Amino acid sequence: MKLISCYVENFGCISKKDYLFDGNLTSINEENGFGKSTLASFIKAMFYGLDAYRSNYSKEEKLPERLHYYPFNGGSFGGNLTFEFNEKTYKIERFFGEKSDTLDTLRVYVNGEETFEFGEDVGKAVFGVDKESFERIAFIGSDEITIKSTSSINLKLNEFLQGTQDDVSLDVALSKLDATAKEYKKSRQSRDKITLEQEKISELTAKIVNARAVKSALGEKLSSLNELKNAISSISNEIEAAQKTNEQITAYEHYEELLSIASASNEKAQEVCKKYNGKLPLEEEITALSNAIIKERELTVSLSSGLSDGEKIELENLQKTFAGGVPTEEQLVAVENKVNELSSLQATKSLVESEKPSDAMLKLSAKFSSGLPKPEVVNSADGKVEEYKKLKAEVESTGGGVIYTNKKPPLSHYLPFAIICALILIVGIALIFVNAVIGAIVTAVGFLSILVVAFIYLNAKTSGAYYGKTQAYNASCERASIIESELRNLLNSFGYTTSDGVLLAYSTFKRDLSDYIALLKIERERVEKLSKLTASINSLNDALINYFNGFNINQNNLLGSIASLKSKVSSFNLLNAKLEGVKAKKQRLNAEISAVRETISAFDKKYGTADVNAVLADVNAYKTELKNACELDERAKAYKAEKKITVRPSGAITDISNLNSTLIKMQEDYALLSSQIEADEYAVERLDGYVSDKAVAEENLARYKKNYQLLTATIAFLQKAEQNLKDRYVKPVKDEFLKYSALIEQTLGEKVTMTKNFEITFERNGKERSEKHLSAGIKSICALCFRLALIKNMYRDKAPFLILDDPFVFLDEPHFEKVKSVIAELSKEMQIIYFTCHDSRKIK
Amino acid sequence: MYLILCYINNTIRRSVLKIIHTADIHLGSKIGGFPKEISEERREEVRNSFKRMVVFAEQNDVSAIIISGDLFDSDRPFRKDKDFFYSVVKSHPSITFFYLRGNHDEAGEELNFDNLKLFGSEWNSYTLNGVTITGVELSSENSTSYYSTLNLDKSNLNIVMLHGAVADGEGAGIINLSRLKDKNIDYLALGHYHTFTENKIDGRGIAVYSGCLEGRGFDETGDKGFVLLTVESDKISHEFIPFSERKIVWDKVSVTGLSDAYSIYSRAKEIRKFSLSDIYRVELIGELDAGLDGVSADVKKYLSDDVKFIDVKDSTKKKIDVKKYENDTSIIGEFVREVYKSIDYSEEDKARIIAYGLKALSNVEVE
Repeated sequence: MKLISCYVENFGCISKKDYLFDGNLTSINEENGFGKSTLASFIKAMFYGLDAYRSNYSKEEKLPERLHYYPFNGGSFGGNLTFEFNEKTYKIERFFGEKSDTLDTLRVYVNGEETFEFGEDVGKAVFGVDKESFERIAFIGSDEITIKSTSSINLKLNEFLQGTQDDVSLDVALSKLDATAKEYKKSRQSRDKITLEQEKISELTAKIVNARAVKSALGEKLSSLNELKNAISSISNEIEAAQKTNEQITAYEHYEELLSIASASNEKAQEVCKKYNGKLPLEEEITALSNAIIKERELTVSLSSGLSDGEKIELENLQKTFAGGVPTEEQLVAVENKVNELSSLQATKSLVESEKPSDAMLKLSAKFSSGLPKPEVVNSADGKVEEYKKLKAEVESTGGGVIYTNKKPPLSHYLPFAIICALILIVGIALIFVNAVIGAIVTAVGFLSILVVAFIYLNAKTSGAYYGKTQAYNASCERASIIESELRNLLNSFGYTTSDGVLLAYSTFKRDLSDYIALLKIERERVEKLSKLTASINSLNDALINYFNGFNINQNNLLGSIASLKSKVSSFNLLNAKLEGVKAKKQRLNAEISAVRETISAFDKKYGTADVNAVLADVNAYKTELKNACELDERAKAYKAEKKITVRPSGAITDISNLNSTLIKMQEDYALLSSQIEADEYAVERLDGYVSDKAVAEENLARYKKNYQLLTATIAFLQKAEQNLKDRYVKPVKDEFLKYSALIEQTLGEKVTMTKNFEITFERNGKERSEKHLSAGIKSICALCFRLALIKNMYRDKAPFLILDDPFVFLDEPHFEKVKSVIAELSKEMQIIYFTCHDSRKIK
Repeated sequence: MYLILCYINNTIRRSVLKIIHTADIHLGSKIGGFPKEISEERREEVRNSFKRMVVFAEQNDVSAIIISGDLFDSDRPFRKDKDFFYSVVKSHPSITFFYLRGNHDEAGEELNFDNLKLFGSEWNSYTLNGVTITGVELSSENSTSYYSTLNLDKSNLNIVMLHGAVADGEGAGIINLSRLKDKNIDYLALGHYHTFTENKIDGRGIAVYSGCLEGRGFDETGDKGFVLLTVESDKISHEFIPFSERKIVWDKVSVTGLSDAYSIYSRAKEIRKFSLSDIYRVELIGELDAGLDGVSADVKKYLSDDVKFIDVKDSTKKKIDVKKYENDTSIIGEFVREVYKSIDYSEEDKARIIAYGLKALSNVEVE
């Protein structure tokens, strides 16, 4: 294995640089910042890639490689490395993403052809160890020196030591075994299989103990149950026997009771019989008695049914009324005729009274209320009428003294109307300005009024007349006027008006006067007739009233009085006749009653009582009691036969309530015990299951314990085997380590030991110390020796390169000189790439 | 003609007497070796089989059922089992039950049913349609005397009921067949052994164990049922009727040369046609590679779909080829050598330790 060259495209501070690793020792001596450590990391990255990292990595952590080496100037992140391996030349070409490995690319070429023989993990394939192990084998830096093994190194060592290549992970195997062992038993008390099974066994043991206890007690309970059952049976029999005896005694008592009641009924019947002297009345006798009593009652009722009290009182009153004798039929007819006559007179009187004065009479009476005019007044008036008539005739014969002329009516007559109309018209016109409608109407009215006035005026001018009189005429007229005035006064005193002329009024007056006088005569005759009628009526009425008073009839209505009288006479006659009939009937009934009472008396005499109801009640009671006695007797016989009673059972009725209570209590106890036994049997039934389950659990427990024992033994054996192997390959490493260290350093001390993980301890001043006690310089020597020892043992003649990144800065000159010579010697066997920034540390 | 045939048929029917001989029902017995639910189920099945047998008797004109002991499992039977038995007897008045108590039954309470005939510590006989059924309950008191006190009429058809172990010699519960020779026994109805067995007594008689009705564990495998006796023409013939609800089977399967669970499963299927209603135990025998430790669990999983219940017992000898690792310089060889070097463990344990280690190193889950 040998590195040939590399090309760094971009990696940290290095950009587009070629490096050639010629010879076995490549020493790069450059100043700080050149990128020595970066180049060393590039070589490692080409084989093992770069880890992806989280952006939120802790600040305390070491800066992630991918972030650390991301190109300072950007560009493609990676490059290639050419190396020789198994006599072939390979080129690894890797480019990385900034953070994630998903963008990483890897290509491996062999002799210019791409190859996939290394898979994804080129480093593991080439060196046989993981990245961490590689760092511990082929890489020594100045800042961190680790002298320790890894399982990967161990495996690789073992592979060489034992010549096997089994991909066995002992750690995984131990972990699996330990996990399985812990399933069986954990160091602390926990829910592991053994603990659970032990708990289960404890639980089942408790159940078994309990179930066995229940089982052992079950026998006693079953015995108790049987005893209880027998006791229940016994007491049940006792109750049954007692019940039977009780039933027999009760039955006999019932039989006796029936007989006793029958006997009592019989005695009651005999008691009744005794009341009738030992022989009860025969049925026909009782019937005869009953009939006689009924007959007597009926006859007595009939006897008491003569005139009623009312009739008697009425008859007595009538006898008093007619004490003076009873009017005969003829007398009654005569009185009735007089009553009718009176009625006729009264009717006539009413008719006359109803003849009232006529309306004319009343009018005239009103006109002449002040009295009739004296005849001389009338005669004077007649004369004046004649004179007047003459005067009138004279006037008319002289033409009347009347001259006709046409003369215009004066304008002044119409002027006021015309002015008013004009005013209306003006007001109307003025109103038009205030209210057009009203103004128009008023104007129209004014205008029309003017037209009307003008029309009337013009019309009157054409049709009007005017009269004028003569002197003679005037004298006649004056006398006539005087007469006329006198006549008017006369007429006015009687209420007559002369508006139609005095002559006409006087004529009316004269006619009325004549009519009034005639009417007065007729009225006088009517009053006279009425007076006569009144006298006749009063006379006849008084007579009749007196007549009826004699019979205590005081009615206003005489027709009613005559009817009443007739009725009284009739009643009186009837009552008298009835009184006679009653007297005859009583005589007959008394005879019949006597006969019936004899029958009753005979019965009474024979049986000491005639109370037919009592007799009947006694007879019925006798029959009923006798019947009851017979029936009860029969029932008693039937009951006796049914219950098969012969003699009264010995003993008395036993009270079985206590026995019943005891029985119920026992039955309850039985049910309770039975239920307990059922529950117990259920529990006992589970016993076999518990035992079986416990056996299974114990078997499981034994198996688990065995498994646990064998698992822990397996772990122990594996660890022992591992120790054996380590012992086998640590020794050569230690030997190599001591060989190399002896070349450089004699001061490590004695008794240098190496643990199975290659941790170095040494004894100094009697104390065992770890490599941490060494100085940085000595530690770097140890690291170099350790790696050389590892490489020697792990790779034998196929040793890989060794990268030394300025690890010897802390060494003093003498030590460095020794190291230098060792490295120079080593470079003959393996490729060494050495970086340093100090001239003093240059190797070549 | 029809009437004549009917008459003949009836006559024939009347002349045939059928009797069931059963024993060792063990009502209320525990059922061991199974999970709880299977045990519970089996307990019910034992009860149910007895009921089915009585129904069979009723349907097949069987006149009597003779129970030669151990009807109940306990000397103090559960009430529900007693109630069950009495209820069955009471509800089948046409069948006469001859019940001989065995070493697991105790007198306890007795119910008097017309169709339940019991026996005591002295010989007691009943007659059933011309057949004499005689029995005695064996005890230490009569263990030697019962042979000589047995007197049977030669002219009768004699069935004798006993409960005990057929063996030579004398003692409580011992039935020495040689001492029952020439006792005019036609059929000796025995109880005690749970497998149908028959032995000749003499030229006339035969002694028969009916076996139990249902197997109750892997110690009671094979066919279980009752014996049907047919008495016809002065002769008693018998036939074993397999009647159990399910059978218990124990197969031994040699796994030598087999290297995985499926091969073992296939071999088990080759030698047995499994039935879904039956209960099986497959015992793996022969040699098995130590790496196959725990294979029985896998075989059980494969078989569990084919049966009612399966138990796989691994009785194989684990085989480790130590020589194979003699020159193995890896951790495996170191480990195997280290284990076999140890004197603290048995060979079996060493085989298992190696099996564990190899599994773990092969990154296989360890159980």
